[in-house]
Amino acid sequence: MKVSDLISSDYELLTNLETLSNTFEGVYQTDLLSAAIKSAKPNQGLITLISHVNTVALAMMIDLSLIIVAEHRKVTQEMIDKANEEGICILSSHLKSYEIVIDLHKRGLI
Amino acid sequence: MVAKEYQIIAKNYELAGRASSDIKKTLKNTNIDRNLMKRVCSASYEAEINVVIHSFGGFATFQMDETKIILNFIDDGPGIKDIELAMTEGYSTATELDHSNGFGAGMGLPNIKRIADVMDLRSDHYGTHLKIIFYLGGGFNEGQ
Repeated sequence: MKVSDLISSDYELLTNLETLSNTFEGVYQTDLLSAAIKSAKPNQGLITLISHVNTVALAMMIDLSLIIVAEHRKVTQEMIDKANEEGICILSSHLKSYEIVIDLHKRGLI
Repeated sequence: MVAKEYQIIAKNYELAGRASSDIKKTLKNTNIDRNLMKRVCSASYEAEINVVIHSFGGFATFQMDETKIILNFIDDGPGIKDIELAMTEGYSTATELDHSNGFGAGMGLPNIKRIADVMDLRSDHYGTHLKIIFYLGGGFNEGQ
């Protein structure tokens, strides 16, 4: 599944256009980065409220291709720059984490 | 034999993960198994974050030879009062700031123990030394 397949009016792309072609297979949702280390699988998307440069560092460490920041949590330019550098896509959404999961499921994306 | 050393600065969340990131880049240039690479990087990241969150600062070393990878995380204190408690999933002494950064769930050390082939943790009030070993040829924890 490509990130571009996921884009709708509920999601805003924060990283470079090229990251839209990132692929992902399923998602993992958590606000605990250690939980992601334990349970997220490579190439999954991470849905989280934790909008911090550490989120990108973690994604890079465990090979996540996509971060969806829920509830329009502020994403710093530093975080965006780091994600661009690592080729990781960041989307921002006004939806709550569970609403994103439901939305992706309803649309047959997960 | 590859050997590297990294400084880890206490409470600096912006630089947290820098050592682990470099370790990952180093491993990417080798032909080690992808699953093993994920285990090493995950353990390294957890351990590095622990030093950032809990210690007065410290350093990490990475060594790799034909048979194993050894990570050492050494800090200047204040030490872990009760190691058994610290190894319990969910127990944490992290602050509100750590939580807001997504850390301090009390899963770090249990995560490391689960994914490492050998984990050795020693601590007193002068500091903590965490040694983590992964075997390249498939250690006893390979199934994880």
